[in-house]
Amino acid sequence: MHITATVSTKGRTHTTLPLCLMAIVLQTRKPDKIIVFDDNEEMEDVRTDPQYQAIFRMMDIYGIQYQWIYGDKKGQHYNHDKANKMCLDVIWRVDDDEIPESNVLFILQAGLRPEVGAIGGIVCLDKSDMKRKGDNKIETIDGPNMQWYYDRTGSPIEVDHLYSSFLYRANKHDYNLSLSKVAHREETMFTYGLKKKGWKIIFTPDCVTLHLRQDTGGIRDGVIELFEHDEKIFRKWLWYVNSGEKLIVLNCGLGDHFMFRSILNDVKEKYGKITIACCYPEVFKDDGVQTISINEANEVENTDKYNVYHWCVENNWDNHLIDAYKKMYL
Amino acid sequence: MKIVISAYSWKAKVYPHWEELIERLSGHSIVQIGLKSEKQLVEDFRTNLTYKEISEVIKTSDLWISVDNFLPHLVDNMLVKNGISKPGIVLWGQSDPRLFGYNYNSNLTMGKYRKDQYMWWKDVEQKVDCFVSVDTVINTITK
Repeated sequence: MHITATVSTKGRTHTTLPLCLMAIVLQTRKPDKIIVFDDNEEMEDVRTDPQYQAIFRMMDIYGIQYQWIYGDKKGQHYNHDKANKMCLDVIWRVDDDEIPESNVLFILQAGLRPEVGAIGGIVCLDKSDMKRKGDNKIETIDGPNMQWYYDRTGSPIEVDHLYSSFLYRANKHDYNLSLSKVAHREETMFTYGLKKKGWKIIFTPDCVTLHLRQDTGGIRDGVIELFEHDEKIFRKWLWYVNSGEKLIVLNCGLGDHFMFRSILNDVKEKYGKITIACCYPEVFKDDGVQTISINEANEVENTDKYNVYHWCVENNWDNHLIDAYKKMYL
Repeated sequence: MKIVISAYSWKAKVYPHWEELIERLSGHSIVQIGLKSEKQLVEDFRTNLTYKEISEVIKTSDLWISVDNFLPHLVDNMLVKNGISKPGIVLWGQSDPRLFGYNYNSNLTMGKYRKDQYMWWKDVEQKVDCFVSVDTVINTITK
């Protein structure tokens, strides 16, 4: 198992980020690589900083590869999405104000069994609240998260979603990039999305990451309107993933819409209720299907991968486009 | 004969000899369907029709001629699949009728296809020698 630790950072280069990186380097099970996504407004070359020189030297000693990538400043979910698509194996995401105890990665990777998509431990602010609350079921999403409590009793259990820091299999599910730069709910959408694809999501109380949360600064620092924007997207997405509806995306030309329409009845028979996100809704006016815009679809899912031409290129397709649609949907 | 033409698509797919073809068909009644933004080639230019209206125009025509655009797919979807046989002539350039066409149409092609058929067509330049001559089209109509 090749494990890459990723840290998305902003405003903490000289506060908690060095502590976070040290904690990652000093794991009993070392990551194979560490990638820092730097979203700071001003680019800074930390190689001139003695503290970072020491950290990099330790990475060299332990044979840990490392990369410092200047991010797009669109929010940590963009950085996570980038990492997710870098042809990595397993990713351990850690926030820049989090300090994992030295055995965290060892315990998480031991729990990443073949059917598990993501596993996370306790991620808490302090030890004041010693009794765990919450069950991390999606129905109680607005309640407490069981990862917040310094309660090391019990065994690993299956949950619906995780928060903040966890270990996950790369490139099995996409991050939702329609969220704002504060990326409120991004971990819930990602891990629950993994679960809906059939992966198990595990919480284990056996390991602790301290979350030295600051009042201001950081990659999530933003106005309340952005949180509200993201919450709306989250609620819409949650309804969609639980509705069982099949989303068809036609981000293509008019002729392509007609070609898809030729298999519409078979698609309806296979999936039952469908929604078609398309550029030319009039094509389906009399077909008794719900149509939405591509923009609306992008709020609940990354629609690029649905593009039929993209599919044809990825699959070296050399047959009729209607047959490509059949292969994609039937 | 009433002939319906649909002349435009991405520039690589546009037949370069429309004016000459229309002149050679001057004895027939030609209806052009398309968007208001497209160049008018004949007097009877019907723009921004609904798909049902386009189907009706095709149904009442003797022949339709188009490039590789939406029209062959509309005809297939709204007429042929509903049991209304209405083959037409499709003028192919660099796109391959094997991947995007229908065998019951007369697919006129020089067989000079672009390598990446499923890549973006928007910025691909037109290549005149990829299209058949007006004579070939006329001969097909006559047949």
